[in-house]
Amino acid sequence: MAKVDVKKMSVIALRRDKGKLVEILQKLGKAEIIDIRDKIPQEEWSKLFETHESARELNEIQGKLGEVQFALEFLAKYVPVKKSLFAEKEVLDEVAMEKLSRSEELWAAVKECRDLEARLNALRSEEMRLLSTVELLKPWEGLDIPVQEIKSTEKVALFTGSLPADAVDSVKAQLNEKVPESSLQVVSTDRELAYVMLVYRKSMEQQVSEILKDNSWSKIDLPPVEGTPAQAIEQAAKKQKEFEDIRRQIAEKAAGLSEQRPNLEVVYDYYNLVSSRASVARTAGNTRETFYMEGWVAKPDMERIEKAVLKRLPEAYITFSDPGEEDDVPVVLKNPALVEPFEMITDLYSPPGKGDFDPNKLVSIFYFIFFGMMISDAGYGIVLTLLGLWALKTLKPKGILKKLMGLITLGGISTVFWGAMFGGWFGDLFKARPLWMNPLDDPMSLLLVSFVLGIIQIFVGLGAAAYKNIKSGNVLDAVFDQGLWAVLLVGLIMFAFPQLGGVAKVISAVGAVGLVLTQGRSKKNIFGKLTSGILSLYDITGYLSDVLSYSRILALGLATGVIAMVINTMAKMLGGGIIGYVLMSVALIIGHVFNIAINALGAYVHSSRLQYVEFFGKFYEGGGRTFNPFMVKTKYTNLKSEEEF
Amino acid sequence: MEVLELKLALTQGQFLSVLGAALAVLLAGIGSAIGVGIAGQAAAGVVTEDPSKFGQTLLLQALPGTQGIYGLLTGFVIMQKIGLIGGNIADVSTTSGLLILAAALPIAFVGLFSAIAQGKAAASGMGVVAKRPEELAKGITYAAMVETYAVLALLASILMIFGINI
Repeated sequence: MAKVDVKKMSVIALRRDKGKLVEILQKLGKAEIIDIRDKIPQEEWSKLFETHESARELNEIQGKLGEVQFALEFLAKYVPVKKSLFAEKEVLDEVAMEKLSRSEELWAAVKECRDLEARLNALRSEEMRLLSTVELLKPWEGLDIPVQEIKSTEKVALFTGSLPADAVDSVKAQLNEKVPESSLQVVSTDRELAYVMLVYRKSMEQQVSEILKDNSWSKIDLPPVEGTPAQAIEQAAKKQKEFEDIRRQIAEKAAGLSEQRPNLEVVYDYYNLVSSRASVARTAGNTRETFYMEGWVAKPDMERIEKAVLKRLPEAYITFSDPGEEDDVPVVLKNPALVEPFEMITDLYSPPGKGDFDPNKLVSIFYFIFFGMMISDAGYGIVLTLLGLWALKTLKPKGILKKLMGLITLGGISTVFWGAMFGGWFGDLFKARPLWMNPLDDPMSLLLVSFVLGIIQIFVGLGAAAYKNIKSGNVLDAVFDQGLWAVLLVGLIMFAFPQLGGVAKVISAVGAVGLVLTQGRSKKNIFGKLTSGILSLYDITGYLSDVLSYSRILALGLATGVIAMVINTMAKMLGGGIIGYVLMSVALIIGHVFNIAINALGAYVHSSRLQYVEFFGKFYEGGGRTFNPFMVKTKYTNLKSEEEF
Repeated sequence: MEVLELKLALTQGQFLSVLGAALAVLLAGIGSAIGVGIAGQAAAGVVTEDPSKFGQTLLLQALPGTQGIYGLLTGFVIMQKIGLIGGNIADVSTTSGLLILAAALPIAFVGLFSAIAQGKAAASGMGVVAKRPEELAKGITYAAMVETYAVLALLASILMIFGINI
């Protein structure tokens, strides 16, 4: 349907033109480059081309890109990026970008960032050291001796260490008893340990160590600091303050450097551009004077690419051929603008595979209807539509974001429609007569409508499967697998109408018997054929649960309406007086914003599910690969082409 | 004497209806709280590695929260039905009260258990976000498959409540 033919483009050109060609292809943005290095085995490659190009140039560019990125991230830490998400991007041409990339000031700023970072790291490790010293000294704060002097002399041993707090008394007593002329001074105690200083004659070493050994003594060496522990701690606190000052200085410097940020952003985009070009250039196979390159292009773009290339590189040779059987061809879709947003739903499942047609037109219709019914509030629909339109207009999003915004806009329109049908305008905030009916008054009718919509989609799914079968030449499969099921289902549905009972029996019977006779046709013996045939009727439960699954359309629609009513009721309880009205308005806004968010998410998820499980299950395989053209990708700026491509 | 009074009160239609509303809010709410909690733990893990994934993980975490909303919704419909919100409680017969209580059960229990199961599915979906953020929709879809049953229970509960005459 809307799957575009994809052709393989082969280019041969002079080697000196390679850079130019890659640039042309990038700016056209219409070709996906094939990395032929993956395809051609090594031995064959060496017969055809010279050895692979070295990655030196690419590495160099990526190194620079890394530096710029580092500087940007570093600056972002100190000076938060204030640019709003919706700010317009600066438009620049490549010449200006290139010029900026050689700016000395810019590279000086990058270097400065590196230096600052290094200083910060040094500062950090110094600080860690300081902190651990303080931590060690804390218990000894009360010790009034300079730390250097805490050491043994020739005759006297002097140690600092810790003992279990409850063992201090007994150690003291034992020392008194066995080691005369010794002293045990408790400097401080915490919950478990007593920090003590021990002095004794070295001649008594033996006795002392025996006592200590029995009492879990552990020796503590104080860190080498100047002055008493208390002085050292004070000193450290001073140092800490200095560090803070240095930090502040660094932050100030970084703030000054952030002047370069706009330039860094431009240069970041520039190197990204150039590095993607360099990596594409490396995919080419080189001979001495020429090179060879391949890519996928959509058929409608063929002519434009050929013209653009030959205009600038008249010596180039460019051909287009059909993809081979074993090629991994990407999928290119072309749908009307109104269908395009729904491609997102299908793509998130899986892009159409080789045997699939593009289901997006069918998906778009059902998705549009279901999404609106699941929210079914005209007020919410208006909010969603305006939100989507506003985002499309001001953000000018690309790719999937653009599709999402389109989806929100279209879904919003559908929501307005269904909301008006069911009389929901921010719940019951604005009383409006429903154009059709109020689901709260008659949920059964709407349940039936949901089922009918489901049955329609299931039949469309069967039709799609039949179409696929017929297109690939399996007409019999279409008749047996889809046609007979359609007959049986029609028959079963007719049972719902009593006046059709007789016909219904006949039609269902024809369908059922047909299925029993045909569903086992791939089996070899008659027994297998019959068993498979009979078992296939079990699939009726599958169809039944498929249809019942559509009841979620009603349920989610009711949920939105009732939650909106809850919000309105609660908000109105606040009413009365000026303050009351203000509070009421706040409650209404917060409540309805919450309800819109949660129900839009619900509607998105459940509408998708109905496509994925109930609809795609009938005919769609997926497994395709999205077309990923080689193009200009910028983050901070928009590239202006110096010439039209 | 007191026992008799209690018995009378317990079989009162008004009490039974309010009990139904309470159960719907209570059980479905508990389920959602647990489910969102489970998903949130996994989400925090992912965000530790990559804080920019906050939005995506939040989306996934919100999914098991809907059961609680469905419970509240059912409770609200019951309250509206018996006039609790308007301030004039209707005279509900014991039979009607029991019917309303029974009608609240599907969303109460299915809400409780499906929210927990959905929380687990969402937590596993966080792995998808961590490794392949572009496949978020698939993680969401797995979690949403569980929710189907809560939606069906909600539908059953609400249709039953609508159908009961008091």
